Amino acid sequence: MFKCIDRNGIVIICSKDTWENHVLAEHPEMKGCEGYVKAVIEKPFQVYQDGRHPNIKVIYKPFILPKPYNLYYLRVAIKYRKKTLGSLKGYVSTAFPCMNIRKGDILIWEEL
Amino acid sequence: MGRTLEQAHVDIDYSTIKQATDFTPIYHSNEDIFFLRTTSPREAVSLDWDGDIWLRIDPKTGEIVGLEIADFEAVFLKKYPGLASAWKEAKPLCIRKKTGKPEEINCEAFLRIILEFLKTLLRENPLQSQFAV
Repeated sequence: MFKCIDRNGIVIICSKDTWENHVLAEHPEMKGCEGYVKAVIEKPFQVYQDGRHPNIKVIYKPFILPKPYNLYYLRVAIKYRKKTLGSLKGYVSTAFPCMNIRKGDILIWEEL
Repeated sequence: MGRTLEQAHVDIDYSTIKQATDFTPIYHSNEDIFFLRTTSPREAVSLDWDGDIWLRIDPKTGEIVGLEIADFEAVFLKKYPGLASAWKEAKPLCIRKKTGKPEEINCEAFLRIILEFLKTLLRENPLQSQFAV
């Protein structure tokens, strides 16, 4: 679906399967929002460590989505994996608008 | 709940949780995510509820139009084991197929159990003192 580079220089992949069968299938408000997801990965506002999964980081950025979600955060979860003989890559696992930061997510970086 | 950005901009109608008995339960087994939603998913903004549940809210009406629970079997059912036996019965009916139209699912008993659980969970949260179902 798309590839981009996160703030640490790691390639992030969002597959067509993930986008269509998870993101859009359960979050129809994300239709046409691939560009915003990519923009959030490339230029996040806050990066959190998922409190349950060490290999998942969660990016939040407010005020990026179009109306009626323009006042909320866009939340993007990325699962990082390193295959044998391969480099570390990240895979988008979900993306949706939200009102608040999930309890248990641990802040590890934020834009100054 | 987690920190809130613009929660005040939506007047959430918690009484609409009663509609949950008409929702469709769907389980993404590969990702271990449980969804409860209208048969055709509606556009919504999500609200974290104590790190356990994302309530999906229609930003225009404040209705609860679904919910999403990540790490459903790995974490959630272990935290709330009272739901585990009901889930064991309902699970085969909730596995999502990637192709084709969703099958008609008869999960009425499971949905009633889930609804009672949700009512209790939302009512007992001290931040939701005005909640009334």
